[in-house]
Amino acid sequence: MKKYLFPIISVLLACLLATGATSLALKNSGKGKITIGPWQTNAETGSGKADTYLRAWVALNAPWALNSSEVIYFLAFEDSEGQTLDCNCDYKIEGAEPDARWWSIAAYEDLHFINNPINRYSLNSNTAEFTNNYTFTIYLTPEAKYMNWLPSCQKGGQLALCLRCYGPSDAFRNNIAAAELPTITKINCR
Amino acid sequence: MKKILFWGALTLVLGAVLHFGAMVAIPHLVTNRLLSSVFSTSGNWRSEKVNQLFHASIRMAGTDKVPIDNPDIATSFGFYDVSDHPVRIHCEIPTTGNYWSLSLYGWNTDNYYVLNNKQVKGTKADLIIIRKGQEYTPLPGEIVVTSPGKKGIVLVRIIVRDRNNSGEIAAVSVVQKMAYMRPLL
Repeated sequence: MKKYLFPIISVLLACLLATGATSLALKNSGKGKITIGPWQTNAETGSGKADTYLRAWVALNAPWALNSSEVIYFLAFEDSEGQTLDCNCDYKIEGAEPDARWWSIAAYEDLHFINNPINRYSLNSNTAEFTNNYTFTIYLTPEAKYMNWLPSCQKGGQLALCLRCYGPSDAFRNNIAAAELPTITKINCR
Repeated sequence: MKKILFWGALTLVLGAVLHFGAMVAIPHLVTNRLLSSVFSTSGNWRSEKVNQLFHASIRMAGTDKVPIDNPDIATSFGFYDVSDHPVRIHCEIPTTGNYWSLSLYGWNTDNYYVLNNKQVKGTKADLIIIRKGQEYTPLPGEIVVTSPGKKGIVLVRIIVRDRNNSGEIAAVSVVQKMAYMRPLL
């Protein structure tokens, strides 16, 4: 029995190490290489250029993403002040249209659609109301209080936003870091 | 002391191998898990559902199985196997100008090919997927794509501009359902 002690301990420790390293890697691999305010992206998302870690993260969190020539995906888990997005708070998302063929901003709780009475999970370049200078203000709140209402969560899960830019212009795609993206500002909390 | 160092080093190496193996395996496992959850009603989905396109309407809360799904998109979905024969995918393109794309993925979730409606001349797209080494002479208008592996995923996406517009949903659904995937026997 004694001769198996080292091999058994070695295998158990290796499994523990591998599990810990994998969990840690999956937690951090999704962090975008490009950060613009609260938004993060990685130009290699979905493409064959993605490394093993990014590919695993995308597979678990946003499988079958298109590559950046087709769509640029930006994720936000924080507001513009760096505070984690919170179901108990109201936010406004303000900005101008991204330089893309079509765009949308969708809200998620624990990475899935948020149940709401009007089945609205996003606002996009067709459904958002604009001001005269082509800017918009979207309100992310649990209850309908404003125009351009994007229903938020009520359960207390992880709140996240995804900005999708379909058919980005060459200028946008070639210099993603220079893009001007909407701000996410906390209005108040309950 | 030498024994402890030996087993310590072996533990680290084994841990690193297991960790890297897990990272490589995750995308393949996710593909298997998602396909089996989508086709859960079919006992042997790998053989019964292969080389066919299935048309899903826009998703609602509770029916979005894929994380961070796009709520404004109607999707046709399937998986192909070109081990024995090439596979044809035929699609009609929306004439309304709504974004449309046909994208192909390896089993490891890499998006290795995409075609969108701005790149298509006309109102139809015919794409033939072959495996490496397979020969196929395309007919006029056909696009031939070589799959990096024998199996992969097909996604046809049509953006719905307003998901609460039932007329638009119905029109998109008509175009969507004209798409099909068949093996070229």
